[in-house]
Amino acid sequence: VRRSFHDRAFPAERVLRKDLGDESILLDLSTETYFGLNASGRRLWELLTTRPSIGDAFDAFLAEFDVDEEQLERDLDALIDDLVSRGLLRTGHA
Amino acid sequence: LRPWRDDRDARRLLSFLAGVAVDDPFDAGGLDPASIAHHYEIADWLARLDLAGLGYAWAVRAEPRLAEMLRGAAMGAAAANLLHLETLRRIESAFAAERIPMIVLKGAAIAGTAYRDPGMRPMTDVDIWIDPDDMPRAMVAMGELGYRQAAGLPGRPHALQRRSDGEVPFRPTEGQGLVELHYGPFQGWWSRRTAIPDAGGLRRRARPLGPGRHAHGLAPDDALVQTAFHVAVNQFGQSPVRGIMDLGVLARRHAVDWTQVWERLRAWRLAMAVGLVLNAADRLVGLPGYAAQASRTPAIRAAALSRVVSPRRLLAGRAPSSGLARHLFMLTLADRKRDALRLIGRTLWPERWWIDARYGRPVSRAAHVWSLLARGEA
Repeated sequence: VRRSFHDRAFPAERVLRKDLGDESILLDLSTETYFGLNASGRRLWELLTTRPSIGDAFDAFLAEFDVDEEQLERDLDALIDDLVSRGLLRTGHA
Repeated sequence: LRPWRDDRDARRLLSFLAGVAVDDPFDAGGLDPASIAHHYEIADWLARLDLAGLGYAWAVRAEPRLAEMLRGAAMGAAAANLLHLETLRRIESAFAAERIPMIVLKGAAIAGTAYRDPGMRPMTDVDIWIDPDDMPRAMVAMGELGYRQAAGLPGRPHALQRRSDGEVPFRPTEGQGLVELHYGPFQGWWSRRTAIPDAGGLRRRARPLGPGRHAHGLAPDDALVQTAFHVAVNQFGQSPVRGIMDLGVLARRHAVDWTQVWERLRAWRLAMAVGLVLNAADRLVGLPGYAAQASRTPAIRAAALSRVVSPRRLLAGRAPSSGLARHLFMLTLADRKRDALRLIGRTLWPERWWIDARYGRPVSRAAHVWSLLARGEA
């Protein structure tokens, strides 16, 4: 199912986050595996899981950082795909 | 002493890191280890001492190249800690529901109360002190949480652990992790034969780990003594510098009443064992306010033992290794000669109940002595 920018992202159940300097780790208690987020990834996670939609998170990140819009869209899509495939994030209607 | 020119440089960095564990922001005070050693050597050294998380907390702001090298180890340690703390949360919830008092010992307690970030202090397990009367209920509760009793150390059956204030290890039926329920805070036969620690006093002085928490932790002075005791009875094996760092952090976090600590150590006959570790900690990481106490350990023995556990040897990860060296080391730690003699006597010729608990079947004393001499088991 293709996501839309109107969808919302939620942290999966049984996922813990721990900040480490500017970075974060996500620990999946179900599999006891962790996933590291660099500073950009951490900020995207924060925005994705607190903003009302993926599009809103995208806009907020774009406003905060001097990044190319198309590149950000590709990176955001790749990150969400990665996190969803690892069971750390789920997406659905806002 | 790779990667340092001498142990003074290493001690300076350790002392600095103890401050990083407590203070934020911290003051580097002109510390520049990169001028002494390569980043990768420092990273390797910190990781070997189980201090990668703490080193990363400093380096991520001050030494980006070093931080990058410590990143993986620090993240792994932080993830493992998250898992251990989640394990503790589940156990605490279950024990609260069953009204089983619990006192968290060692890493899980110190990481959460003395370090400004629990992720800085790596843990390998969760240690919980349970009153012996509550132990059967606690073991049932662990089973209901999905844990099974794990095999302990060879030659240390449950019956013997019970008599020596030892531990009962548990592992989850699925996944990883280790939880040890302890019958007492001063485990082992060395303590039972040579010392008389007031475990009841520790229990009375214990305090909740946080507002509204069911789990308790030892009072800071008691946590300091228990940590040092643990380092001593493990003969400075099992990450001794991590334990010594805990002492440095505890002493910085809390105002330690050293006079009272020493009165207790004397009364409990732990002055030599714990004093030796405190002396080493003072030299390695610095214990604020401790300097005047260093001379309280018996001078000749302290001088002899300090060669065995010198800062240089500890920093190089060298502990008494052979069986005989370990036995001699432990004998020397006894405060009183008569207690050391009792330890020898009871090791060779234990009580009948000890033999029954140890072997779980009828065994003659002669067979026990033979096993002791042939295999070096006690």
